[in-house]
Amino acid sequence: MTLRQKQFAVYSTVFLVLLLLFFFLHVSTGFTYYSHSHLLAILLGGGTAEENTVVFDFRLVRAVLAVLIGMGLALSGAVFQQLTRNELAGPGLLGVNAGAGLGVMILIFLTPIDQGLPIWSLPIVAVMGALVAAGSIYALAMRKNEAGGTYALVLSGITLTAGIHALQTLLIVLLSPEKFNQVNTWIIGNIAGNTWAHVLILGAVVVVLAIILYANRTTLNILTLRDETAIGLGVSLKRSRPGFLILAVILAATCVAIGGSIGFIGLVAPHIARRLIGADCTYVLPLTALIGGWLLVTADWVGRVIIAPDEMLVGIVVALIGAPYFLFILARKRG
Amino acid sequence: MSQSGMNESSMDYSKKTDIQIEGLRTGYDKTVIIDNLNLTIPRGKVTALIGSNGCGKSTLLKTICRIITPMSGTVYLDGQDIHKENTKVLAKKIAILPQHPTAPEGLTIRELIAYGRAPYKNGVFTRMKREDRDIINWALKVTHLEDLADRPIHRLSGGQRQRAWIAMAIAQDTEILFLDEPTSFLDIAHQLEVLQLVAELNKTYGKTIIMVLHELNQAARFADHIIAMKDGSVRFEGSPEAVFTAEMLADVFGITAMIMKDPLTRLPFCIPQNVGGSL
Repeated sequence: MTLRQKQFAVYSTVFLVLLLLFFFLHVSTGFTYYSHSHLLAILLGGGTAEENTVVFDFRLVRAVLAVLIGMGLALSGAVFQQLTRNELAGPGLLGVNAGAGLGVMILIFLTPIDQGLPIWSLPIVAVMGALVAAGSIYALAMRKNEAGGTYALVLSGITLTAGIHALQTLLIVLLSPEKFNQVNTWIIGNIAGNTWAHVLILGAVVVVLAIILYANRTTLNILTLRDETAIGLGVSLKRSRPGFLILAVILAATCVAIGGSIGFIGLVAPHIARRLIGADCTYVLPLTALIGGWLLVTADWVGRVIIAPDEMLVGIVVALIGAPYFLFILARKRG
Repeated sequence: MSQSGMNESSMDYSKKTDIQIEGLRTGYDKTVIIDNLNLTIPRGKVTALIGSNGCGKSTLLKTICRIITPMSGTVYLDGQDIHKENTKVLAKKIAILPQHPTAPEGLTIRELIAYGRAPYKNGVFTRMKREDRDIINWALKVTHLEDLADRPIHRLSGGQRQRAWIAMAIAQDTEILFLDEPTSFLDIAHQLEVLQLVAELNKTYGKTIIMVLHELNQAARFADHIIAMKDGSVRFEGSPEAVFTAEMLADVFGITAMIMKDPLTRLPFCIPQNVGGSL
């Protein structure tokens, strides 16, 4: 076993234990108190119908979604960072949150208030909006320089995202109060109120895309070297870059569609993983997923207990932790 | 590479034809830097591209190794047009060390060298094979990096870093190696170290080396074949003895210089005298 493999074994075990611990804490939190042993009994199938509904259909759905969303956003962020060779990159910078948000808002705007939406409609419009936004940002950045400069990408990301936010503000003014509440909760980020069907959709997307990304980890690794080096190693930049971009956008947009516009996870989780395990995606990708899952399930749990019996939306908790961390990276980059 | 090990016989690169360049027109964006260039680069030898800044030597190197797609003309390798061949297939034939390679923070030497095995990965889930591990260890040995293998690249000195990149390039196990100014920003000892490594790769392992060099006397000493360029065209070409003349230095570099013979190697070297002043 090499040094890296030993480090990976240690760190992945640590974060897996943390994830499971906070997952359990998350599930044991709520209006009704169950002792830990009783909760375990319910989880193992020994609960009443009411207990089952509370634990399985409310708490477990929410906790599992938190883990999946955290993993998806984190992995997507890791891919964006590989592609842009910039540790500040994340789904947010590439316009995923903004584009998905605009898609969701247009859908809500156009749907009559009393008409329910099919479960898959939100993810689909979110992915479409995000693909348009990320595709435009990517194309804008690549137009000047086919090699794809990092700064061009970051600048066009910030510019286009600002434009989309302006459009969103325009739409918000036109929304009815009920729709505004719906949209606002979504923008901040909220995992509550979902069902097992959401888990199924998101789970399938996260698992399938995670496998595809891990299978192509060598190419992802090589893309962080210079273009010339990547060409020399036989990587087709014209095919692989847009391919990974699309995968990462779909992954993040699906997460965002179900969990709301949660930021920072895609930035923070891969960054922590890299500081611990280096730069090889063989280790970075799995560790990033574990850290992302742990971070979001923990943030959602904190949101439930910090101002109990009221609840803080998970997006706020994440932003409260994520924003200082972002500044910390920036300060470190200067130094 | 065969299972017999990393010896000379396992890398039999004979029966290869020279690299042929025909009617090449290339440059950046819409700017033509090289036009209608015809050139042959010998296989199995060390070739140095020399010339003043902006003469097109780097552009030529990048076009030959497919980093730049030419506007017209063809580069033939073993009868195949390089710019039409599958890039992954080519990565098993030619390796490139670009001018200022960068690696992400935290990447270790061993991890970087392992990237050199990427062209040989077929299935998506294939693990590293014994053959890959053997070649990585060989690359570490040849570049004298065995003791530093688990050190992150960003903590290395300039010379060690350059050797790490060369190790990655040779882990690709290609017959041809392109080096774009491999000695720039290195002190004199590290320059020599890199060039001696290049010479060893050529002599012991039979690799074809094509490199851009700035230091003329190093080109004369380490190259079998020198190509001197000016304004996008080849002015002089041949062995160091044939190319290294006062006439060439005046034409290509615009300097007057004394040409002497190194008493040890019997190779020419120059002592620059003045800028300008034709013969």
